[in-house]
Amino acid sequence: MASQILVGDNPFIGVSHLSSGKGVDEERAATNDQMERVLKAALEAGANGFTFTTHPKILDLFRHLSEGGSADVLDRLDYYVLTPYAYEYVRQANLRGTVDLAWSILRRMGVSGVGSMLLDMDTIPSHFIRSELAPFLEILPKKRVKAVLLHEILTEPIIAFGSWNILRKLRHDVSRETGTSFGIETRNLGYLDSCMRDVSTAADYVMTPLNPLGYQMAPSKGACENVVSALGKHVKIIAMNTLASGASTLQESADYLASMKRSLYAVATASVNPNRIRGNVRALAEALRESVPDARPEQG
Amino acid sequence: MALSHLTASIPDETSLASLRKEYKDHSRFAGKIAVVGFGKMGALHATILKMLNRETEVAVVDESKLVRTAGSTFLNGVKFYGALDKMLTKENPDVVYITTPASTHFDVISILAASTVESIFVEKPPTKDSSQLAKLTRLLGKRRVVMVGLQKRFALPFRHLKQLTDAGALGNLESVEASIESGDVLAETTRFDKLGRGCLLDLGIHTIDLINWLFGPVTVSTADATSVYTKLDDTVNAVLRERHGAVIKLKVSWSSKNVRWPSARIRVAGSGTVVDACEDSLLLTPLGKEGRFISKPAYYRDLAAVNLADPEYTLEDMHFVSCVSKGEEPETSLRMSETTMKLIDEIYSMVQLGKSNSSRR
Repeated sequence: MASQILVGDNPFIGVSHLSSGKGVDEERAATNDQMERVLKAALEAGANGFTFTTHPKILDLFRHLSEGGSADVLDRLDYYVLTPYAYEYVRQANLRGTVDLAWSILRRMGVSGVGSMLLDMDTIPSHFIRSELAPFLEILPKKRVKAVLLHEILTEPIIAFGSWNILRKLRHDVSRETGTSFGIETRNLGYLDSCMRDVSTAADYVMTPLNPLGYQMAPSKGACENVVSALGKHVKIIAMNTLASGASTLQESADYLASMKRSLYAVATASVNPNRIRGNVRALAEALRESVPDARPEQG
Repeated sequence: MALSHLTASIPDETSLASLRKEYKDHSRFAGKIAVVGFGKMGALHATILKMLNRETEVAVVDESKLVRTAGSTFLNGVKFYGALDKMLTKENPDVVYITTPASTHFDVISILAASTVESIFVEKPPTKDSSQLAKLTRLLGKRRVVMVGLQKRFALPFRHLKQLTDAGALGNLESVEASIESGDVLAETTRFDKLGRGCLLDLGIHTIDLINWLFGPVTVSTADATSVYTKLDDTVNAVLRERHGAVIKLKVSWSSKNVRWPSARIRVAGSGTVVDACEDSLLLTPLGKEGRFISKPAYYRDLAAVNLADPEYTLEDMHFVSCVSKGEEPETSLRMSETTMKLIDEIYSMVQLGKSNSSRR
């Protein structure tokens, strides 16, 4: 049963799968004060979590909340952390080349040459993820950080090549080092149909687009729905891009998600507009009713 | 915006139907693919191809030991090589993807021309200039399937625009504004010095290809360039003319601060209708009437076989493997890219001729 309604951060950081121009406009509108208003409106309407990318702007938002007298907002949300912030790495790779970028990341992690790199290769992914997470984990209430989700830029090659051993090690390391659960984010959910056992041994959560248009649901809407139905028994599924980047109406999306609510753990919705996020959360809560608990500070 | 409204606004069923047909055709291909150069583009194509068909075997050539070590640790079943000739001998691949830096493309393709490899995909730009490309076309002969990675053509809004212009649906062509911008180069870099050409070749090739594809032969009237972060062209502005005299204003920049992802835009003003197209959407505005906006979700709903980066990459790869399976010439074949490369050469020659117009550091 869907038990969480999450606020997404895409419009805060300029990501729009409808159009790049819309993304730029939304990012400009998303000041710290505006993002705070959005989170408060979502909380009032019944949201109880925030899924965000390890983007510097979100870190700045958390500092703003923590130091600006709104730490109670931080205390009332659960967190699902998507990492790494892929766009910045892609941009850097365009500028300096992939190999040069990789070496600079390794040097930042203390790997100085090929010899030490060879020794440590198995542990490099978890070192990398830990270094991305560190500044966020310093601010967020520890018990509220529910899961670390691996960004699609790394997840999709792992799915394509069946490298589940890498995910299992990451899950183990992330759990040991941060105390949180581990998951993946994919826009190719349907390809998991032949490897559900592998997925369930490698990830606690799967975050994926689910919307009535089938937008970003690969290889097809039907294939993704089948995987949701089967995988939802073993893994916590988080629905994202639930409004098909704004191309679907709220009611259409709410009805669609309600039809699969027994297989979903959470649904995400996003906006830079407090009124809109309030309306989205209320409509989704209504559609998924009987399973969404009140948002309240965690005890102890 | 309502779902029903968007669904009703897709008039290019013919184009969508032809692309869906390619979805079926690609499954015929199952062979051995070698990727030369395993940076982000190499990894992107390898992942798409492997998802399209799990039976596909993948080998990789990369001169970086870091890449080979990391790749063989993290990607199951992929064989990594440090040298192209060794890979060719051991693997005898059906298809080779070239995703090394552009300055190496001429040498790599020359080696492949002397091999038994029948099918080659080379990322853009295929070569430094049109004379290199012409040499390669001769070396490769006519029987090979060779495609250039000009994926913007596979973005459905641009394919829709092509349908509209071919059908004369916009009226007489009056003017065109075409641009492509990215924020990739916002710090000093020497990475492109070896190639000797900047944003017009690296990024502008997409828009030049779209212009040739949409409007046919064009001539260059004026061109100027500026450099801020490199010794090369960081921004290029040019005025072109299509065969009936309509002006095409071109802007290319890889140093735009307000652009998140590389973004191509084409505004076509016809005597009856104006169309604004980009990778994400198309706005069709008949004169004196309200515009019709068709969005990315409407174009791609339930269509992308693999969803990685932008959908045009998957459509591009599917077109390529479909051509390989059928032995057909791809839409963006190396041979057909010669017109695009010649136009790029011509613009560069105008930039050099008009140094008084160029502000260089």
